Amino acid sequence: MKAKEVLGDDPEIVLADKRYDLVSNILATSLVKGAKKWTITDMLDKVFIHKFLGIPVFIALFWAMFRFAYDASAPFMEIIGFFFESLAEASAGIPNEVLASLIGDGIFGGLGFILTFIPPIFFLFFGIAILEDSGYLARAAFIMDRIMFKLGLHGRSFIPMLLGFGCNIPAMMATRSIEGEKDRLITLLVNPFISCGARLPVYILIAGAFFGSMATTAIWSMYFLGIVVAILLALLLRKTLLKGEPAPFIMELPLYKAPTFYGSVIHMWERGVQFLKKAGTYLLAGAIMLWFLSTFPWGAEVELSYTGQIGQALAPLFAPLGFDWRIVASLVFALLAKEIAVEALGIIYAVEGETAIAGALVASYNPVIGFTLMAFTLLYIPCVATIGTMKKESGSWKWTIFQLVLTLVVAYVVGLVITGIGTALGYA
Amino acid sequence: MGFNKNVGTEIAVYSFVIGILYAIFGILEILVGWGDLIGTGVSLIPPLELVGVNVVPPDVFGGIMLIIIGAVYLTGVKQQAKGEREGLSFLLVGSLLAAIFFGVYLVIMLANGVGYVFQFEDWLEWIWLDDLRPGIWLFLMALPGTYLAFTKKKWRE
Amino acid sequence: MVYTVALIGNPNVGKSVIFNNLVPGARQHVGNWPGKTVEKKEGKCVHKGTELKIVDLPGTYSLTARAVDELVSRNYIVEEKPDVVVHIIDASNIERNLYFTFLLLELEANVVVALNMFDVAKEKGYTIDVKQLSKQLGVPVVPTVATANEGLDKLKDEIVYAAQKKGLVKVKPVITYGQKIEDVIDSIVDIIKDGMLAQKYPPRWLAIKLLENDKDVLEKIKGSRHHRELMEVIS
Repeated sequence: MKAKEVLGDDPEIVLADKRYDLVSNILATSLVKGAKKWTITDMLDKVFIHKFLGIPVFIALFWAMFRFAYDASAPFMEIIGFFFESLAEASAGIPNEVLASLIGDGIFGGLGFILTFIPPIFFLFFGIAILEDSGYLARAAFIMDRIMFKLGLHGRSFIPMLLGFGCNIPAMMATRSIEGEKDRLITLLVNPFISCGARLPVYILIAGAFFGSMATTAIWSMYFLGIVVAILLALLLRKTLLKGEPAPFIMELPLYKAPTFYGSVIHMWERGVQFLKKAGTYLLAGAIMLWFLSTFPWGAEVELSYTGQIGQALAPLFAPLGFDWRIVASLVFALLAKEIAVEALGIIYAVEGETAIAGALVASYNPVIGFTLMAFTLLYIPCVATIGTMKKESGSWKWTIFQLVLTLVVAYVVGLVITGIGTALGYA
Repeated sequence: MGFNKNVGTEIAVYSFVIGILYAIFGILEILVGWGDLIGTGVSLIPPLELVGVNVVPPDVFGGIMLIIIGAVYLTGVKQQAKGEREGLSFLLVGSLLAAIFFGVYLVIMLANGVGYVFQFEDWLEWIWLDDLRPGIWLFLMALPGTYLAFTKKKWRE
Repeated sequence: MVYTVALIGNPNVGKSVIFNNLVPGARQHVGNWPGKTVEKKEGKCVHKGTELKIVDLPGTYSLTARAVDELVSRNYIVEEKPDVVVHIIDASNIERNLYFTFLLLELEANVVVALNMFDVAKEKGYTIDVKQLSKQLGVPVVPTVATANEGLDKLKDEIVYAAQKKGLVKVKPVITYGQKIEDVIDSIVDIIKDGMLAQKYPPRWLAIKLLENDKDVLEKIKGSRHHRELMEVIS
């Protein structure tokens, strides 16, 4: 006897129905539901999943969370920065010149700068943990799903995308809960377009240098750009390489409950620690490598250091975007970790401190190039740690390399568009 | 399932007032902050100062958020006036949102305080009054009323 | 001797709280499932002289082959055959959660049910006859409120009993799918019952998954000498 005759075309559903029947039968004898009490969850959901208010409330809550993450962490970033600056200065006293430079400029200077970004990333993860533990995040995913479905994305992609604003590494690891290989792959592929915390120092530097009072708006536009590109690419991939319907989104809305401080801290830590691991390994290695390539041949001018040589070799490729060898060299280093771009620019211009670097940038480039650079940093090849994560999560070199190429191409194209529009508008 | 219509009307009026206040200050924040957003430095109305306190900070997005909170409060008014229990959901969520924004602004104020104490560059001219914004004092103003609305009148069935 | 105990359940049912209660933080060991990127949490605990190795399986809504974390859980149960599988249920959402229990019973796991969030269910107005539920499921059911530490000692007792009793009593299938479907299941079980597949995996479970066109199980049968026969029945 053939299975198809008995079970039809959707055997899974037939069997699932039988199981649900059995569940009902068993519960009929063992469960009595009292009069339906109107719970707080019901009250809250009336507004959180309201037809018209649902999305504005969503926007308000996430805006509040981002404000908290970036503004409340600011003084703590200064504290960490100050700590490492002092260490860097102190190590100037080390007798061996090379060692002093390695420890002072390379490690404390380079790595220390990167570690100043721990507060915003951790604060962001804390905020997400609170929204998650309270039960609201499930509603947010539910609301987003309606929209995401139309964009060919799965509702479950929402949380990984959200985490991407902190760091792409835990974000990509969070895709494991997405059913459907294609949905998961698309989410993995476009995740790096979401502007992670590491890119912020680059934006702050460039926007601060070129855009004055509009700097904040310029930075916001990068976040917005990242989201738009991620969505468009996801749509494109859905329609071309990874065709198909997203898997059905079934998600349970848990009861609301007050999140505990301790519980949220634990969740924050679980995700934040991924960033720290990256810092401890890739960023440290990157900082040392950058130091090496820029400081040697010892005593040489920056143009003649290894860094300079690499930059000059690749510069012609980027001429249409207005990038010179200095920018290209720093972009190469930013592959190790995007935060490093700032440090790299400082070394290349042989200046120290953000104000000085900003000054050097304004003297050498126009605002169009500045904005193009911001967008390029946002979109191009993700940092090595992220690439490693992509390989691990996707399990395939093919897709990892595809992502490298995709991000580079998208960055270049968008860069050209911005350069074109900017020049046409007369800002060059 | 409802509650006493007189009670409902009281709550409805209260929600209406709070909602309108949030909406008004939201609009004000947008108007004051408009200049910064489009880079001209010229706001549609000048910043308001009261006793030296920057009463309405320039903040277009912050203003939008206040309007959203106001909208939540206002949506509940009709059902509250009719004595329908569901109307209370809006008061609950409105108050929750107001509390969350209060909390966030307060934490930011405290963080800025930390920056000031350490005498970091960006905070040398900061005073706490700079951060005393509508998101903070509107919530405090609304607090007694909200507390009464939820405890005095029996709404749990 | 050390018994292996797996914890499983939907997300948000309090599984982490129970795991943290059984295995204090310092004793927890976090790594990855071999060859996978899914996180593996485990630790040791001693209850009344018996040593238990607790493995926290990923929180999932189902056990299909479609998601990595579901597959990891499922393969662990079917291949490593832990001594006890504790299914943690959200009592206030018992209909959805109970479905998962059946999936576990079909995997022929040695199940103990922790009926967690019992307080929330009560608040919702539910009255659950735990004895009746246990009788119908054929497995021990322990009401717990993990956040208040209630019921957890009893749970540990039941885990130890269940581990000791494992394999001693043959469990009858709780779910039957109606004569016609059962006949097809039986025919598949007949084909594989003497072979390698039946030794490695529970035959009835294998049959059901084949009928569902489960991607992972279809892979598993590829090497078997019964492959063609099986493909004929299920196509």
